[in-house]
Amino acid sequence: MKRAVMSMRALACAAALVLGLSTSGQAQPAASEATSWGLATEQPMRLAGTVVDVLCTLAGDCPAACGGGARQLGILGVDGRLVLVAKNGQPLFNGAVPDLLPYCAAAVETDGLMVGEAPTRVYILQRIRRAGETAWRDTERWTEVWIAANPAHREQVEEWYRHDPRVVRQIERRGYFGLGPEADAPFLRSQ
Amino acid sequence: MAALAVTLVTGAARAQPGAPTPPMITVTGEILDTWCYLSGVMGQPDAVRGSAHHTCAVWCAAGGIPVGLRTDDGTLYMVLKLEGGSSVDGNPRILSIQANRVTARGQAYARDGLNYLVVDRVVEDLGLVNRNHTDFGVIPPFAIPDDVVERARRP
Repeated sequence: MKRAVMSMRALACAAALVLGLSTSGQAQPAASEATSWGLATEQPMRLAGTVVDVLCTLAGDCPAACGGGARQLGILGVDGRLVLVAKNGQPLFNGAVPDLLPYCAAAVETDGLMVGEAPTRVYILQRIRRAGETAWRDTERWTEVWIAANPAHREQVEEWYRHDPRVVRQIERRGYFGLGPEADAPFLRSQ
Repeated sequence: MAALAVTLVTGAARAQPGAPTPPMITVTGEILDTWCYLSGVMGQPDAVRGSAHHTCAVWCAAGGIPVGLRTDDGTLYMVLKLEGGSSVDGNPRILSIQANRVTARGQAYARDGLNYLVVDRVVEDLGLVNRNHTDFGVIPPFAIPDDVVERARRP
């Protein structure tokens, strides 16, 4: 048993070295170069870990390829912490799944901002690269995925949120305030 | 060796078989956009909920940003699934209940500071109860296009 434990420790150390980690399991401190978004709680943070399907990690419900875009994704850090990635680096209501999905189950490094009051914090993913790579990729893949899904609205991508058919349907049905279109009128007339 | 290292790391990514089944809970609260709520990007938390923020919440849900359920005591659950549908693939159901007050039944998980909920069933949808646009207006102000406001003002 003792030999087995020592072997596991040796394997873990070897893996950590390959990934550029310390033997304590913590990522080597690397200065974040994340861009400030001027948010009161933002904390620049570089992460080292694996891209995971959050529900798979929590519950063992694991579709192929991290759900192929239908699951919220996160970073399971080399320290064992699970970080939910809520946002990519684009400024207009864009999630991070399209930017994480190509790295499903891969060891990565990321740079971005943690936001929220501890312990309820989520991550803004600004850059990502595979472990061992030198070049970063900015996180803006959301746009190409949206255009592929909405080719008829390609020219409207800069204001995708006004033209996305799913959004348009909701606003037509519920109005801007979610109370029905008729409930919008008094407010709009008062503006 | 690199492959071994990756295997060691990813092996921890999946919940272990035999792990205790998480509790099934029933909670009541407001469906909201977690990004604006947690980041403060559009102002104080009370302003980025309810009717004031409904349109933006629909935008964020359509953009794949995690949707949350905030209970009356302030507990925030990240909704990972809703009645079998995903919270990130444009599930029309999840878009249709943005800013609504709902009672939901599902399995709850907690890890590293966040609560998660896999909603098995929306037991009751009370609609949009938090009519805070009378206090905050529309958040963000550009949520309603100028031409829509102009048309509404015409006699």
